[in-house]
Amino acid sequence: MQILLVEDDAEVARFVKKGLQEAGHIVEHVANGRDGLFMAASEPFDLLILDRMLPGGVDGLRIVKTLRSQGNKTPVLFLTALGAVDERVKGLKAGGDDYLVKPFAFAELLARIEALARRPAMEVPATKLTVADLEVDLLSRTVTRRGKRIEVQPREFRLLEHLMRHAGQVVTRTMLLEKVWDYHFDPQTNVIDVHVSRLRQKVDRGFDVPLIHTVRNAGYMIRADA
Amino acid sequence: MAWALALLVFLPAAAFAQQAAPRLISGSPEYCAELSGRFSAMEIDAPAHLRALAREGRQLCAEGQTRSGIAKLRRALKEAQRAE
Amino acid sequence: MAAPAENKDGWRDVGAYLKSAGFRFAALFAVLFLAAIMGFALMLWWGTAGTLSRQIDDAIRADTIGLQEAWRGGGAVAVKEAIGERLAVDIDDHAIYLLTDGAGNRLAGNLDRWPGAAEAPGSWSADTVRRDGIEVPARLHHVPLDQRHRLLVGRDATDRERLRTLLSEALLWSFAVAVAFALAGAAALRRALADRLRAAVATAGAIAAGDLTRRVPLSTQRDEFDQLGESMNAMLDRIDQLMIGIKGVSDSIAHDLRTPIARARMRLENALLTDRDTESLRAEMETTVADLDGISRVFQALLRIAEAEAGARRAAFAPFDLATVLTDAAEVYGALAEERGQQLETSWPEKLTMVGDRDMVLQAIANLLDNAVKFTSEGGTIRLSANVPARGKRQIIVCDEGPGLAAEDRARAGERFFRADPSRALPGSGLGLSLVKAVAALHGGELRLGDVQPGAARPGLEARLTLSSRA
Repeated sequence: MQILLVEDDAEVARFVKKGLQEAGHIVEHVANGRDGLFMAASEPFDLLILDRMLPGGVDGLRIVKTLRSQGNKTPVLFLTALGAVDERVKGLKAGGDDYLVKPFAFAELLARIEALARRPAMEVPATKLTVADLEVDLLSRTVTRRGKRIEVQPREFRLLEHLMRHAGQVVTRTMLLEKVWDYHFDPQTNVIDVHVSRLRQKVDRGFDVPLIHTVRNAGYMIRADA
Repeated sequence: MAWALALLVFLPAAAFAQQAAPRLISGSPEYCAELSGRFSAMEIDAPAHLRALAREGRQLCAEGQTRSGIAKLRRALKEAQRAE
Repeated sequence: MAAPAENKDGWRDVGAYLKSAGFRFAALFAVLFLAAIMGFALMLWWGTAGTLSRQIDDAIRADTIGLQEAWRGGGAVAVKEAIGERLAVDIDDHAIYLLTDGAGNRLAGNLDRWPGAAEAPGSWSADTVRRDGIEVPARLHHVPLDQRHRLLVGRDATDRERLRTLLSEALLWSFAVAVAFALAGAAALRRALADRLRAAVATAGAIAAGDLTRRVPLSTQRDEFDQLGESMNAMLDRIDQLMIGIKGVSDSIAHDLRTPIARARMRLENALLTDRDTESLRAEMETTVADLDGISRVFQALLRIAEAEAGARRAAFAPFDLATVLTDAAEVYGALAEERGQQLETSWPEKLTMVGDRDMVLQAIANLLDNAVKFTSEGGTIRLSANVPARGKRQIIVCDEGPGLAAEDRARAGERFFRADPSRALPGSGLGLSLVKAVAALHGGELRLGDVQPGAARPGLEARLTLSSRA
């Protein structure tokens, strides 16, 4: 993926650029808002990672608002220390697609940008989601594996659906909280883990090939083992 | 030449005299007589107190107090008129 | 050269005085008062002198009509007769008539010549006439009759003029008195305003200078100024609270966050000093990353509490169904309870609408459930319920079977980072209840902690979270 990173902190920029390049992406970095806006408007990128507080008179919000008003629909992820909910809302309302607060886990960043980049393709309405021999029917809300019906609670269904829509991608715990439960809150203990393990028991137990994997320090992924 | 000078002096005076306020002339002895004559025309039918009033008026006029005389005569005439 | 500077200050002071609200109010009062007086005077004038003027004009008009009829009926002779009749009964001697021919000769009437002011045909004019050598004012009307004859009808306006003069003098004096009253009244008004405001202004000044304990003294009148003072005092109390909160946060940060930061540092330093193989070094680094994440979450939680306490989230209030939030919370923590073999019993009405911050309310319920699951032993029961205790209120109750909170600890439970002794060993930052309290306050409610079974060895904690359902 062609990624533009607009970040004025040199350390963070170095860290992010290196990590993303190692993950196979091409990263362009600028350190101020004006240059960022110019580059984003003149060259095609698959994704923009923007800090919000930038020098040069043009901040992250301005960049997104300008791009959106020009009809530029490139996905934008805000990477910023401004973490209050109001700020998140501001960022998303301005046209951003996701919002990650510093300090962040690199795995989280990676998982989120890959989810963003893949999104358009997944917008195609599907009635069935399939991973290996696991099949989820969205119309009848049923889960079957190798033809055998698996009983799941509604929330577990949504969890599974989300994992399958992002099959092969890392889905972090925070992402699950936001997308499956539609809340922004911080559970004191890892309740998400408990839900995933319950789901895993239903989906993987008794079958020889486990589909739901834990990705260390990152989150979860559903995938047919190669 | 003297003529012209005199005119120049007296012309403004004359003009001034012309601009002096018009005078009300209803306070003269002649007017007294006029009013007296009016009353006489109707005296016969007039009540006694009015005739007395008129007589007083004429008396005052004769004594030279034309103002008061005229006033009384007018009063008598007015009362008489109202009575009609 | 002190003098010029002083002058400048003096002018500035004058300027400030003129711009002051007290002065403006007082000036407004004075202007209104004087305007009222002038209105009164005008009405009076219109009613008296004005009436007399109108009466004179009406009388002249009536006469004019009568004499014009006479002219039409019998020409100059008839008019002469008519004039004579009128004069004969003119007791007041106020009427003025003059009939002249083309040459300007007097045919009838009681004026000796035509007045200059009444030259224009049809004109109404004012001029002076002489009566017994005295000049008196007159109102005159020039009535043209034909090419040669013209008629003058008028009235003696002495009475009217006398009344006008009398009235003008009286009104002028009254106006002077009114001005004096207006100025005095304005000064009194300004004084009264300044007096009432003095207390509030003095308090504000003292506070600005740094004495935050001052409050506006209130009088017994309970008027608008007292309401202002009350509002100011309420505001100052709130600022007090917030400042205490801020101090509390910085205290907590200073004291309790240093520990995990120190721990993380120690761990890294230790790894540096000791000769370790790559594998164990990696393990140490991973643990440190987790530590730093933990610190980050504590910061986040602190910020959320501060946000809630500052009431900043009120702007984001929206209507939502509390029953849905409870269901979701029960679902999330139900799985956790199941893990520990615990039962989660739930009970609430089908729909519980309210206005507030959905995320914050969920966070509060989540914190309470988290505690309940954590402190109840395996196999125990947790109860989550909600009801409407009174109109406009919503109540959420979480009961567990843990050690509960000692009465003396309950008061401190809302303090940030406070951990009652039994819980020090368990994971958690001690911010949970602090946030619940803040959320309660934000929603106009409160948090009450009590025992489920008072007197028992493990009485269990009952947390009652009351919220106002309206914004």
